[in-house]
Amino acid sequence: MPQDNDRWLSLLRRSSDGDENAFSELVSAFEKSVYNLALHITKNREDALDVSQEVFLKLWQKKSSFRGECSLNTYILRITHSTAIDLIRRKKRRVSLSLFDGDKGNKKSFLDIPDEDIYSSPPAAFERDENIRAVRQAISALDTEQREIIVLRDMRGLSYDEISQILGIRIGTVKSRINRARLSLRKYLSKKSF
Amino acid sequence: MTAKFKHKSCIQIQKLISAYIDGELSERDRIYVEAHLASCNECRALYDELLLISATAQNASHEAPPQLHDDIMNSIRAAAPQSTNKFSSTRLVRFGSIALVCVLLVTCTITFLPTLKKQSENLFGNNAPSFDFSGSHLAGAPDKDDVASPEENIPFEPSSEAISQALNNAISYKYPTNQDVVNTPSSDSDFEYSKGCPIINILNSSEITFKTADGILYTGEYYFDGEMFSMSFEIDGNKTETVFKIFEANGTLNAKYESGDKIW
Repeated sequence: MPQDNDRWLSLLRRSSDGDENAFSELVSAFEKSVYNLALHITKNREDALDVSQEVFLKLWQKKSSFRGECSLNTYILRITHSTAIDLIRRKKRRVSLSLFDGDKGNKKSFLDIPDEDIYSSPPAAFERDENIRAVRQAISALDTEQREIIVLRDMRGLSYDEISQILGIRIGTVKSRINRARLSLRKYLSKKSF
Repeated sequence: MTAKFKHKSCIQIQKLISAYIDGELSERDRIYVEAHLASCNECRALYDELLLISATAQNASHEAPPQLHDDIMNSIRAAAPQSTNKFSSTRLVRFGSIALVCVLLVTCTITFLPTLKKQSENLFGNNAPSFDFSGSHLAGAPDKDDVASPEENIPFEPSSEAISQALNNAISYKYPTNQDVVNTPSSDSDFEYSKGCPIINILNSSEITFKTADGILYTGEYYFDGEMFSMSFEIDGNKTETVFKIFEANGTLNAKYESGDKIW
């Protein structure tokens, strides 16, 4: 929302002048969005925490160079997307490299990196709403592209245009990807008697 | 919760249904979908199911861990003194180098100028040429901006974000703001600038992306040797290669187009 963006830009300007409290307010405003997107891309809590820290560190370092030609929300989520994808690529590369050193009998594809089950750990265990838990599990079963687009659209409420800017894809692709993701969720949930 | 589709138009509606839920359809498509939903129970059921899933997903986000905020602020406090010190030490080295060069120049001038003048007088007599140190006589000399100062040529390792930013600033990417002027853009007011919103983005140690005006994303490769940045993309079947010079000036990272294909 424009008025929110004005307030965020004001906080960013104050941060550039060395106002740490202003930056702390920005962190409070965006940490949940950043953490959720990072969590659904990496599917790992520790990685999501690392990505979140890195995103805000990058924002701190670039706070004076942001020119405000897109909303700060879009800008921060774009950094989150690229940072999380970069981390996944680094991890996959490490795994694929380590395959050359390991026992050939136990050779595994780097695609077999186990995902942490972020839905069975304590926070989800305390989840009372069965529907929410079911939808979370369904989201976790989607592929990375569909997962992140559901997070951006349904959890963060971003417009198709904003999602297009964040992911660097056409609006038509956003439209079809969201639709496919929701139909996949529906298919998954129908098996679970949602 | 399943719906079966009997008609061809149902398949078209299935493709539009999410955009309808999100209010992202054109007026024409919205009317088309609403007319169909009013007469098709199967598609109406699909609409209800996807609406419920979307609404539930809106409440399915995770709370950030309580320690995250403090961890972020601590990491920023930890990084801030380093960057300050790094900046200070870089400035110190730079000013120290400049000061040393100045001292040497002044010393050389004081020491050798009388000798040079005397030798000149011996050679040319009263028509001895005078020495002009103002630089104003250097007509045709390259502009100051075209000549990199010694410290600008030192190879270094800036972050990929800083290089992306410098590249985006350098190319001043423009795109039409009005479709009517696509073929006849007459002035800069017909364009918007993408500065500040990266269209070039370094993904990792070898991959880079480039986004065109209409949002097409190309992934290519790059190589950076600490001074020259070379990036290559395959665009519409043609391989492009573009080279920029990356240098630091006045505390900021800059990129200057050197050679190759201008793909922006």
